[in-house]
Amino acid sequence: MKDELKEVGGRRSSLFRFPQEYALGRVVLILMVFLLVTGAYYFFLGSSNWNVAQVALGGHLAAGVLLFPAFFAYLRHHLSWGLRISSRNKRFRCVAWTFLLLFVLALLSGLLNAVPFFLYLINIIWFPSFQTFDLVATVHLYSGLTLPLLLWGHLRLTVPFGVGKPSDIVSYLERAEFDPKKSAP
Amino acid sequence: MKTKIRRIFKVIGYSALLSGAALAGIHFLLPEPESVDVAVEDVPFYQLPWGENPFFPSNMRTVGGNFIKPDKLPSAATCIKCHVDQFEEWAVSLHSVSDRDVIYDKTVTHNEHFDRKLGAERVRFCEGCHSPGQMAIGGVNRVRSVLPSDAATEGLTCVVCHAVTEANPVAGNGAFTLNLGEGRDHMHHALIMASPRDHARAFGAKATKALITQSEFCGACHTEIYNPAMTKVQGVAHVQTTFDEWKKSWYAQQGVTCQDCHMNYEPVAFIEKLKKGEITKPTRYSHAFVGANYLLVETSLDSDLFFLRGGVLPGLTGERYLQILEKQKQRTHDFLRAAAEVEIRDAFLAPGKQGRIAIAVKNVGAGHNLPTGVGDQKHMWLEVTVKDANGKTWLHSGAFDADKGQIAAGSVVWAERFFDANGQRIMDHLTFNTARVDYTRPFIPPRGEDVVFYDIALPQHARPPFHITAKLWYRVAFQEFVVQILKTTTTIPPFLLAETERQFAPISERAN
Repeated sequence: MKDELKEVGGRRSSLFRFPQEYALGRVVLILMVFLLVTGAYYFFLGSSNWNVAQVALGGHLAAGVLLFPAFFAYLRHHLSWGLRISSRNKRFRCVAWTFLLLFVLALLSGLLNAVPFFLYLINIIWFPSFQTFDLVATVHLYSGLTLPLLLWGHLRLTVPFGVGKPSDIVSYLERAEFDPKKSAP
Repeated sequence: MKTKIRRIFKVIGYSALLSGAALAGIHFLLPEPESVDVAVEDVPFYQLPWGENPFFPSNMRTVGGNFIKPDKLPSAATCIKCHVDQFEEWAVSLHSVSDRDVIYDKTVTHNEHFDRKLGAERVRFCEGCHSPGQMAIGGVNRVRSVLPSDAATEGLTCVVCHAVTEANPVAGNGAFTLNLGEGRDHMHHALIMASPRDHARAFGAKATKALITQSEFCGACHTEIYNPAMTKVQGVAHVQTTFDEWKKSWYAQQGVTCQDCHMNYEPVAFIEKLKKGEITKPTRYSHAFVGANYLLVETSLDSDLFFLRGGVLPGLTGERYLQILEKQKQRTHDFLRAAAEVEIRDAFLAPGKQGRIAIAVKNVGAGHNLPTGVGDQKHMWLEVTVKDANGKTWLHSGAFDADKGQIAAGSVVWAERFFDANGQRIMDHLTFNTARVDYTRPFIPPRGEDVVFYDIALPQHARPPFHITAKLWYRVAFQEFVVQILKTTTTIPPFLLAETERQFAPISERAN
């Protein structure tokens, strides 16, 4: 059974197919969690202590910068095999693409709001109107806050709904209740 | 496989835990930004002759009633880094020099010296509106015991308006409340560029945003009421009623605010539309605060203008200052000319008879009286000339002697008059000695007019038709004030607000 899991469409069937993807995936995950925590702190608790808020925002920006290359490098590997097996479950596809879309939206909106910061660092002063900033920040906040849920869904729907806890997902995958041949392109 | 999926959740869990713990640690280790408040009793030698209110006789307040550390008061020179346009608009306004303007400065000193006992503290009445920053650091005192601050010399600097949380236009005399403890950035400017939430909190507080667009906000200072605390007036005397004039006007009824005209990028176009009853509210507001003081934007004075404006503002070069002042000069001239009109309504003139001329002076564009503000200095007068067909002048009222800076006796003048306790007129704005206030003739209300009549006896040999010219002049100060305050005989030139001319034939000829 485990041997079958290792081959899907002629590729390895683990969540991270290549050693570099595994490492990248871990980096992306750590950065994502860090960004979520610092972002949420800045937004919801920042005004309680602006000294900490600026540490949180600084960390958030630095992590965001790191996430960009890491995420897209990871995505290149992930999609190359993920697309081959994702057709097996419509809901999975739906959640996976929404997840990806919102991830990109969160990244781009974050980048957009950070543009004046980067320009300031090279001594160029430019910033959009506060209303524009506010709109982009709202998109960034809500897309960012939705990501954990979608990640959870993405992982859960690796197997059909109703399986439950992470340990159940593991058991399911171990039981390999899907036909690898159907998933093959 | 099992291990790998577990790893994902472990990674998520540990990352969240570590990030959260790190932030929590920093939260408890890093102190909150230090308070900028300074208790009144901590400013050495600060005099409180009228009780515990450190700002009295001004009605200015700070949240908490404390002063602010001088180095924590943000200067406009800091704001210029990002808000260049707004800074340059403001830099040419009178708000930017409301404290450093030499004429104001010398007037305050003059008043201060008049009252040797309490003058130094009494000038808080003036400084509350002219230099709130100086007041807020505790710098208006007999013994100056606080460190200097750029912002404190910038008059109505950025932070003053953008940190106001309350204003009372009825009480006037600077009846606003400053929240300077909150009105400052806590985060590094680079980070503010990434997220201006802290900046918006500091300078765009809900209460401030609601207030800053209202005329009531301006009214806190553009209402001046003398009382025995700062003058010799018995009871109260309403000296500046600009807000009240607006409040009773058509403009207030239509929702046209002070900001709509004085902070308009195209003020004259806006006023011309208003004259036709069209109201198109601006979508953006300028910080130029275009007004009626044509002297302090008179660029032909060159370096003398810098002298009058108290030097070049921090953040500007002299050359740039002149460039942007030139624009403000043009705006001011156009603005003033949009305010008034003169109409020779009718004239009954005939040789050998007693004639009469009716001239209407109309306030067509100002949302307050004409003139308004510091009415004991800012005055208008009418110059009327009647000439016959031979060019012989039969009437010349309102002649201005440019050498002496004097208007001819008997002219029709709109001015406020201050008197001392002995009934002597005060010409040098000596507020502290003022006991009574009256007006030479009522100021002209918004959309109102004042019809002035001139009686003229024409001799038999005066040859019709008669040519009448009427000019409405405005001047920011009387010559006596210039001599006594500035110690100079230089004449402040008058400004021509409006003029008209008309030819009249005798009634008998007109009928034909």
